[in-house]
Amino acid sequence: MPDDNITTEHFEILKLLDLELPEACKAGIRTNLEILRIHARKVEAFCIPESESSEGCDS
Amino acid sequence: MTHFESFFEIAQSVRKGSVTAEQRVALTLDDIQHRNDRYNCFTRVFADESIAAARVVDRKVAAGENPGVLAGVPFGVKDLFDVAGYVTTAGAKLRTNAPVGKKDAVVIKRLKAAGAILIGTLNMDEFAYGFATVNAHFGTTHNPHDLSRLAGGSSGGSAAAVAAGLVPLTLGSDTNGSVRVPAALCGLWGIRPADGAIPVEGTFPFAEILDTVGPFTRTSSELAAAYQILSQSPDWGSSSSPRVARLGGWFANNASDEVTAAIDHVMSCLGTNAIVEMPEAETARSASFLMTAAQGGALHLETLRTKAMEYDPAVRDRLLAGAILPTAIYLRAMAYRKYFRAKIKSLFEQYDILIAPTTPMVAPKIDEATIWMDGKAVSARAHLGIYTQPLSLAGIPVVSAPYYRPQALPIGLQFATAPGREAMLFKLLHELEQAKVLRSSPPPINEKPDEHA
Repeated sequence: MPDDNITTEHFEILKLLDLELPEACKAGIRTNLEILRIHARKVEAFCIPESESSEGCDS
Repeated sequence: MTHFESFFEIAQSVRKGSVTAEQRVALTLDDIQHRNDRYNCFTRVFADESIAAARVVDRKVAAGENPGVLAGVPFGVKDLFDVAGYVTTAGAKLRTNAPVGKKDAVVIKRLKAAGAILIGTLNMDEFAYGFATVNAHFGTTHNPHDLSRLAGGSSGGSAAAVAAGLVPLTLGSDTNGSVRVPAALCGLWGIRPADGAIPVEGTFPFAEILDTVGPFTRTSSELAAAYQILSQSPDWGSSSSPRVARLGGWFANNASDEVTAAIDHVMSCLGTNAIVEMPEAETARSASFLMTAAQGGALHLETLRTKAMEYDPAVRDRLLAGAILPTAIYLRAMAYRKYFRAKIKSLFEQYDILIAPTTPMVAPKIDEATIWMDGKAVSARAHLGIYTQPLSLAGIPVVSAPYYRPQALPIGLQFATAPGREAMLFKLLHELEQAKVLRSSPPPINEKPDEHA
């Protein structure tokens, strides 16, 4: 399952940040990561015209 | 005295000497003692300090000195404003043993300098992360208009205290809508100021790039006066008639029929049917959501390492998710913010005031705290700000005004303007209030209004 893989990777990142959490936290964090991912996709999908930002769509 | 005296009336009575500030504060303290349990809005009451401060005001009155425009006016603050000598809990159990504040927040100093009396601190969502004021440690704040419903958040205690008539003025903070949402659900006036217009120094941060502070009142005149004191803006001269439009698109979707009808009525009274699209408002909401999560997560990272299990679980899990948001996404949201603000600026070349709902519907039930979005039930705690978050990203002043509908659950409408046009905005709001299009209505309290007064 892609979602499971992503969640596992995120918990590896939490360990890198010295954040060791009980199993009970994982469901809540996963739910919130999924919400953030939905919002991230909306922002990433938006192309800021190059004439209006140095960011550009491809930068 | 009634529960719903304006702060102008209170200050005038104190200045005239028809009541002393000490008597007025004592009445407020007594009222809070009798009625606060009903709403759960005050978390701490500073009885001795407030009486002492009132006596200072009374001595000025007796000496013929100017006691200030807010002489003897009781006020409360969300529990994220620093109060000298007390812990700023930010609504968190894990901060109950934090060091006490050394000085008052700047906005508290400004209100005190005007003669107002700080009464106590008010309930909030833990670390301001929510739209509900459902707090695992301090409990849930109840809406004075219907005790079975949410007061909104995260400044729900501040809104409920004014709506219930415990105090005429409170302060809250607004990152994504935390003044506007509870103002709407509790039938009050509240403002998110333009970025930098009111200082946030001395407040516990949430997402600093979006954090603002603002007052709650029961009338537009009080809101304008409080705004002027807090922002130290000069007296406003006359202003021209504003060009008004309603926001369509995102701001028209998911609103209940009664909310849509309220905006229809306001537009009809203003004699215009202009509709304008705010470009990519949905993306703006997402950018605001991401920036809040990332900044909040970064702010709390160190504490989460050692005290994660002391957080409200719902807040902790949101902060942890934010803490591991990739920097690339955060930077993308920041780039979008820059683009969006430029687009909003161009909108205000055509219009002066933009109108939108504050929340999609009236206050949800506490035990059924979901709202409908795009045909799906979603958490009210996380989604009541769907219309406030895009305007937060814009960094513009926005008032949530109570649509006039006595004997019914409150509906709030957002009136946004460009920075520098606040005088024009307040003038229009006052006119609509006088015409009984916008107006705060007292809640149907199940007791006589003067029972404890």
